[in-house]
Amino acid sequence: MPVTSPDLTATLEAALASSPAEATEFILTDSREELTRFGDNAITQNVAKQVRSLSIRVQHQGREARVDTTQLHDRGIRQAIEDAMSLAALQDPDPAMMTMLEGPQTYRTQPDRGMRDGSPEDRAAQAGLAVRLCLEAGARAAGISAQTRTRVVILNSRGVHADATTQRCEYSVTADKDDGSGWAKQVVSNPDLIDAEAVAQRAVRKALASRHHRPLPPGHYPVVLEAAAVADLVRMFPWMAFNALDYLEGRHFALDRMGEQFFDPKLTIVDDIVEVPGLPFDYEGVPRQRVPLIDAGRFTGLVHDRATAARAGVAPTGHGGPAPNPYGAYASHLVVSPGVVRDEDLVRGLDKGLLVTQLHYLNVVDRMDLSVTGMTRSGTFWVEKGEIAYPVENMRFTDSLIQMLGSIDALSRDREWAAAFWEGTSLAPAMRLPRMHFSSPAGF
Amino acid sequence: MTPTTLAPVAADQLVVHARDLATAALNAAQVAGATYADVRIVHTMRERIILKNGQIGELERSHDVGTGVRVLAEGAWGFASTPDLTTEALVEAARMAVRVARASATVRQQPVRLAHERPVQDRWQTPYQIDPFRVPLETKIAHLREVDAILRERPEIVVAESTLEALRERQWFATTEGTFIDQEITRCGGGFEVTAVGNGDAQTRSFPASFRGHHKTMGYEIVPALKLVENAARIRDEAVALLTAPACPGGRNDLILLGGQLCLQIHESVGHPNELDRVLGMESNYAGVSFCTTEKQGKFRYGSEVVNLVADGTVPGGLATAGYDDDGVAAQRWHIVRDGIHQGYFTNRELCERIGESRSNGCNRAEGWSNIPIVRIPNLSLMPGTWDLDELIADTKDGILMDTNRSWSIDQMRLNFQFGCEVAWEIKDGKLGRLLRNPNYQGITPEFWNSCDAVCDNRWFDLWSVINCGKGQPGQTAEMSHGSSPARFRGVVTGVTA
Repeated sequence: MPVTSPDLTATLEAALASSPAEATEFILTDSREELTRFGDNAITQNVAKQVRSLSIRVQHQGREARVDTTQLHDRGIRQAIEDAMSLAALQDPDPAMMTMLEGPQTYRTQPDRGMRDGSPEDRAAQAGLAVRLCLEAGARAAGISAQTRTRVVILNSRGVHADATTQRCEYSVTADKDDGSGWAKQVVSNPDLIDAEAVAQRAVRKALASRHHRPLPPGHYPVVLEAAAVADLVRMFPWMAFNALDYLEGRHFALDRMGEQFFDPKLTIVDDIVEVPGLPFDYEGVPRQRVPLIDAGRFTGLVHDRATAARAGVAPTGHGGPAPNPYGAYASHLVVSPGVVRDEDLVRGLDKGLLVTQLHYLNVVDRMDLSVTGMTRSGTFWVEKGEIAYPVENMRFTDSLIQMLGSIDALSRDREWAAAFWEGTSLAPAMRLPRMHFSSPAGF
Repeated sequence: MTPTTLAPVAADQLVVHARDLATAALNAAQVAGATYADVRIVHTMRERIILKNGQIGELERSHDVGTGVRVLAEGAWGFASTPDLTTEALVEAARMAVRVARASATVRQQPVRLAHERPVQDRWQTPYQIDPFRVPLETKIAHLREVDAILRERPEIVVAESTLEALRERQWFATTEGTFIDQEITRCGGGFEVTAVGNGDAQTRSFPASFRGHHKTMGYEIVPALKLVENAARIRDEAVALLTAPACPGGRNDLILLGGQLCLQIHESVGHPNELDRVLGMESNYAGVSFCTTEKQGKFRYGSEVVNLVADGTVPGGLATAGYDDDGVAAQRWHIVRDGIHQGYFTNRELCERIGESRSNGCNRAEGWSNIPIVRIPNLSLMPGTWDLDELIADTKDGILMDTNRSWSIDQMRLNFQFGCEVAWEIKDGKLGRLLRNPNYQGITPEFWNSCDAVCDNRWFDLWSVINCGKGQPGQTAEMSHGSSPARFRGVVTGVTA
């Protein structure tokens, strides 16, 4: 199904057949991104983007090179292949060069419910709803309504033909009133599942509840992290811990300690494109596997591209980028197993501590002990005897994932698709932790 | 009138056809109801070589060509883009942009008004001495191999990665007001990083800067000037030495920051808080807002009297240096902070009148052709002071000197920041002492800049680069430079740990 243009598959197959290289690979990315952004109670940006590009890799006489182009007519593709051949010819032969994947490969198929173009009118209506609800509450609205459909086709001259389309819809709202701020977001693949009113109302409720906040001294506090905050926290694992290349290069916290119990037995994380929908193959054309990464608290898994898999003597897991790739593999579809507790009971079980709506701008402090830092955002509350007592100022936390997730009181039974601040979507429950180190106040 | 349909235009033919294509799109937008429209046809050519542990890790060239059409209709914005260089595709994009704008108009407070700008017809390009795309690939790879061999001379080194990159962006910008600007920007740069493993630790050092090195709007002449070969052994040895170095001490310490770290300090704590769209709440749902609200302009003490921060779209070599921004506004130079007092913001034609300014200072920029322009940090520099670095160290009884950014985090108001650096040295009795591992520091923006009591002079000044500044939804990446000389900050919280 073409996304933005007539189907180019036949053109690409013809170009592949006529390539002078010993092996040729095409990665076609064809996407339509529609996004309506609102702020200060008005639509401020509204875009309908069409982006289409072809990445061509050639291998010839032990050399390889890659050329990307958006010129997808016959002449443009031919020229790009010639450029890639010229680049490859300038190199020394590499006896260790990994040959391209052979086909055919078997990929998982996924339902394509709700795949369709978005409409600027529908997105404007969702923006208008948020603005109306915020204005009724005396708040200021900001947010987005977005729909992105992306088709990726991978063809190579060794018989690989992978072709899949994914869709991601996102609706999020920030409501600001006085010194209070609230936020909510829904991420789905089917736009019919967006409940715009529920999202906007949740943001407004948070904004109203977080007004007139009080300062809190830095320290260690028990904490309930809502699902979005958990999603942000676990997204730090792929940067620091799940890439097999880091392990093979010796810069990994669990070096020679795979399988050990670093985390609470209630923590299980897998990477799976069934539960968090995504492409059923990676950018090398390898079928994407379900990979257990943390199993009942034991650190068990790494994701591999073909190069790291060959070095480690294992099968690739289907998490590679376009090859050759000096950065290794990336786990992008994290699924955190649920618990048994209702969301509201997580807070009810907290004698004294914090309730955190969202985390913001996380980054690595020290990858060797998995320490990270970041901010709370959009509603941080002090809880006493299982009830929200009052809102508190935002706080910076600096803590290690090993310490934070080494002991987990409880996980919620319900989970959300939650998108992290930097990137990526995870399926995560809310979580109650006995301690988290809040290192400095934000002052607002 | 829509011109005759053209066959798909190849990128190398845009010099001939860009004006006709743009005219077709502008006409279509006006016929569909736009009261203003602009068209950007952009051709970006990139080359990147990464050598990792003696092997070519990445050898890639790209040509990215397409068109973005931005319109105002019924007082609201619409935008559509297409990769197809045909008249039909551009006309269709223009019509879609108008449809999107009409939808935007259903949720607006005031109609968008653009500050007046005189139409211009111009051709502009960044200067360079050596075209980086004409330097033989063998020369570039040989240079990286020389660096790589030095980096891997010690057994503790597990990763040695060196990079050279070049980019050329040619943009044809046309508006319904009669502006037509043909602008070409060439940038080039590179660097290396090296990771040592041992003693249960892994330590990385980079040169000249982390995150793919040092870049300027120059030609290949920047590459020998980076002195990668000359510095490879020193940086490699620092990475190894860090494995057994003591940890950065906690508490409050006097801190001297070198340019490789000050660059990101300026970027995060002065750059982003002064983007006017952010100040006005338009980034509230994503990156956040700003503590530096508009009533502070002209009176807020942002920093001490030695703190002067100047935005400059004209500075030679700056990554945000251009003839014009994507509103067609000519590049300018102005103070954001003068003698410690806040002066101004980064603006565009839509927002400048919200702070009483009749003209934009030219900060509206888009990534490539497929994105809408948004307010961007331009080149922004801490002006040199009067100190010599050696004298500044000698004047510091106990302190820490940090360099080269490793990580960054700052809150949604741009107040509470925490930065990690790759390397630090203790200062004892005015002398540089031991190397310190895993240095970091934390502060609150105005308190931090007010603690600055010394800035080194222009002998120590350089423009440092940010090539990965993310902003907006859909996300866009932009480049800019931040110049600085080393500077001292008193009583800063350091050594924050879990």
